[in-house]
Order: sequence, then C-alpha cells, then structure tokens
Amino acid sequence: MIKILTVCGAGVGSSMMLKVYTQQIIKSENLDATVDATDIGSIDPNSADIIVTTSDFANVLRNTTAKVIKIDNLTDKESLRTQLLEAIK
Amino acid sequence: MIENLININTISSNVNASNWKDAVKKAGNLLLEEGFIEERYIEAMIDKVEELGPYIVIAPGIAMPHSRPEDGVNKTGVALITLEEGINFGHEKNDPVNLVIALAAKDNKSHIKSLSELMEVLGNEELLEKILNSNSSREIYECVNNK
Repeated sequence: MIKILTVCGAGVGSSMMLKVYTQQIIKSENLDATVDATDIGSIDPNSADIIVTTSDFANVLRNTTAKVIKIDNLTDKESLRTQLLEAIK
Repeated sequence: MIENLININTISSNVNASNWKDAVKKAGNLLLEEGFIEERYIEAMIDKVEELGPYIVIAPGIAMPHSRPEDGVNKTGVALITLEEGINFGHEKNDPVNLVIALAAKDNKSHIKSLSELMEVLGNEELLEKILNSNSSREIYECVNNK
C-alpha cells in the first residue's frame, strides 16, 4: 500500500483539492494507495511515500525520504496523473 | 453543486485593486458583508501569505486566498472577483493574477465537492476567458454555473 500525503498551508484549500484529484486517479488507475491531506505545520514528511504539494512547499520539504510531486496549476489534473504514475513506477 | 458555495452577492467584476493585499481585502469584504466571515478572517488570509508565501496562486492568473476555519469563519462560502488589471502576488510562475477566489471553509470537508467543480470550470480555458471578460456579477455567476 502506497501512502500519499497532499500538503498545503492551511489544510483546507489546495491540499483538499489535491486529495480529491489524487483519489480520482487512484480509483481510475486502480492503484493500491491511500491519500490524506494535511497542512505544512503538522506534516511528518517521512510518514508518506509520496507527497503532493505546490512549489512553495516543495522547497520546504527538501529533507524527506518521500518522493515530492510539485503542482503549479491546480486546474491541470493531467500533470498530476502523469507525475503520480511516474513516481509509483 | 457550485450554487451551494457561491452566490451572486459574493461576485464582483473588474475590481480595482492597488496590490495583492488590497485584492484579498476586497474579495474578503464580500464574504464579510454577506456574513460568511468575521472581519479578522481577512487579516488571517493576508497573514497566511506573509507567513507561507504566495502558494495561494493555485493556477496561472488565479489566486485562492483562505485561512483556517477557526480564524473567523461563520459559514462556508466563496467570493469571486475579477481584477481590472493583473496584480503580482510574487508567484514565480502564475503571476499576474486576474481572478481572486476567497475561500471561507467551516470545516475541511463540506466545500470540497463544490470547490472541485469550480476548479473544473476554471480549468476550462474557454469558460475562464468568458469569466475574465464578463462585466457583471450576473454574467460571471452564469459562467461559473456553466449555464
């Protein structure tokens, strides 16, 4: 089981949207994965296999064992799908 | 449904803002006037950006300022304003911002479905262009609801 965390500043906006998109991808690609949303203040960066976040936070999350996926455009689900599948491979 | 999230009174077109803080305030004021938030929530949205950077610019030209439920949210809602002129929020890729969506979330769940529907609309270039070229809140409301 792959553990995915989506991260943003407040934990109610972009991270929740990224979580919804990630769930859709997990379902459509039939992946063995879970996804949770969290905020940058309470994240344990080593508790996930993959972290999905925006560029600002990707720079903060440099010291992690997880693969970090950066999303600059929240309306671009395809980019998330491509990067997610690449990271899982 | 997007209708649950946004109403015509929290939409404004061609807003004149002098800088990013002013743009966030003007979007926040619509939420305040309609009773969605307490005044302190507006400052909280600005503080979040000052603390964490311009990550609220979630797509090219689109900013979604927001803070946490406990910072003064009365009920879940969204204000949407288009700006007369693009404003820089300091984002390395997505500046200038033409559309500001202030989000007030009462919890971390209830708004998500409507919000992702709104994102679908904004991800549609044709609809986004139409919203940005609209001259009234009624026009924007109809675009957002895809009518």
